[in-house]
Amino acid sequence: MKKLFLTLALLPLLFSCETIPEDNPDYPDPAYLQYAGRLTLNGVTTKAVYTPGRLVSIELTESGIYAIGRYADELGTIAYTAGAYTVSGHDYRLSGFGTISFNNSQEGFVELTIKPDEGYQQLVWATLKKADSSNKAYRAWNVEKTRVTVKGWRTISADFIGCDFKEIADFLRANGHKAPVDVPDHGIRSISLTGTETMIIAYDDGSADLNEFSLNGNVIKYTWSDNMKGFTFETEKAVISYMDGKCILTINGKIRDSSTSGSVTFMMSPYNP
Amino acid sequence: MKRISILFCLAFVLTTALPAAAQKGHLSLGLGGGTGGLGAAVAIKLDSHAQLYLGYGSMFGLPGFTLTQVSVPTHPGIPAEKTAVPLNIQLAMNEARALLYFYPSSSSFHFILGFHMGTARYLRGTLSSLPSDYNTVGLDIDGYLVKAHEGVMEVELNGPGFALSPVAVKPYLGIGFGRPVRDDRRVTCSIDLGFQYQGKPEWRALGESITGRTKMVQIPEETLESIFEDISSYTDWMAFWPTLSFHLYFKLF
Repeated sequence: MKKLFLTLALLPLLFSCETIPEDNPDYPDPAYLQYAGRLTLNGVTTKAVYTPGRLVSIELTESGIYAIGRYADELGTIAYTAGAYTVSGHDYRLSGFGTISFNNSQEGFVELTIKPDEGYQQLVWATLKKADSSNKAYRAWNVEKTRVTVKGWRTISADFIGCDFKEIADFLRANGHKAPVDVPDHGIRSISLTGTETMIIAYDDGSADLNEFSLNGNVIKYTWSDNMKGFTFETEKAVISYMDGKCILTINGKIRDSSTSGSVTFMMSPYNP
Repeated sequence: MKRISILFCLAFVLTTALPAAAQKGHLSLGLGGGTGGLGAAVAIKLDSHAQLYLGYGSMFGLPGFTLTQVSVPTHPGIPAEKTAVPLNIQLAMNEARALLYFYPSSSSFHFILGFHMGTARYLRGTLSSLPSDYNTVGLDIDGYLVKAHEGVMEVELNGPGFALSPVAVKPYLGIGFGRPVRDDRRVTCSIDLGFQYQGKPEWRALGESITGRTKMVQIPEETLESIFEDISSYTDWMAFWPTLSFHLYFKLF
């Protein structure tokens, strides 16, 4: 009898708790890690040289994506285009733009030769900042899925394959929220977090947005320079984490031109050109 | 995992108890049913005042009842427009039971004390024919999106009991009439009335992380209240779940 009671009393001890392993994926180094950096063309930041079309900067990412900044107007607004690049010696072939040549062995002033596909060859001075490689987040990421959560009468969420702005805007409107009227008819192709602390959001149409950011632990603070792409978040803070081998980037905030607040979560995998 | 744990638990008790019963020569096999579902059990006579009941009960496959006109918003984020959809409610226990029958006198009246061990779930609600928006839009609970699949959304009412994950251990207290094992009869019956302590009932549903990982997540009370007013007041009293069961026993030796 005593044995039976003891058996019953010990039964709960037989069951162990289920544990979920913490995610800490070990990604291989990005293919263009050694070439990554930012070239800022010298003498182009004064009002006198706000010539539309004039080159301002070239960002070369760890994953073989480049972003070129040019003045879009005489007010100093910068518009960016993005694409893929390849390297041969000191020559960097920027798809859809042309070739640039420089010695990237050390930071500081470099002599930069620019040979656009269309136009004249130029020789200019630029300042090279090489990318820091200390964080596995510093690379380009493919946006595989986007989860949008909006607060309203009830807080609701929806998942979207990739990140198509129109699709997300339709979801917001169908559920009683305002969405910006100038939502572009395309989506995000990739998000790069570079070792020069630049966030490059490359779009399907070849355009891009660049923002500076700083990474502290798993918190990203960024400055948003976008004036045209609709979903601007007023809270310039994001959180990065890893789950099931994916990188999860969550941005909380309020959408511009709307009373809607909520969050956008991107599920991302290392960029494959 | 839970099923394996329950079976392991049963096997452990049986391997400990059966040799004792075989030595004494008093063991019955029982079949029965009640508010805890259909089940099978073995009963072992320990002495003239005590019998041990080891069984398994499940509501699996038993029909529930359907509320046909449950009103939900046509678009999950807009309260104005409503659509009526059916809600099917089923009892969903699936558990092993270890009970001690105590007979204070020579009559068949007895007190029952013991544990039910198994899934925490004891009620399942299925909303069907939900508007198509519910297949894409849902609730994000701790990073897990709860939404409908092809117009169907399932929620569960769980009682954690003593909250020993992954198996819920729920104490049981009751009274009854009948002796599962009698020296003078081959066939006997027992009718029992009691209650299970479920702990604080909580609603759960299957959620999916953005990476595709699935998990049963607890739906916050305020979210539930925004869908079904006063639902918490109905579920709170379900902490003590009444049970009524009837068993027919056949003495094996």
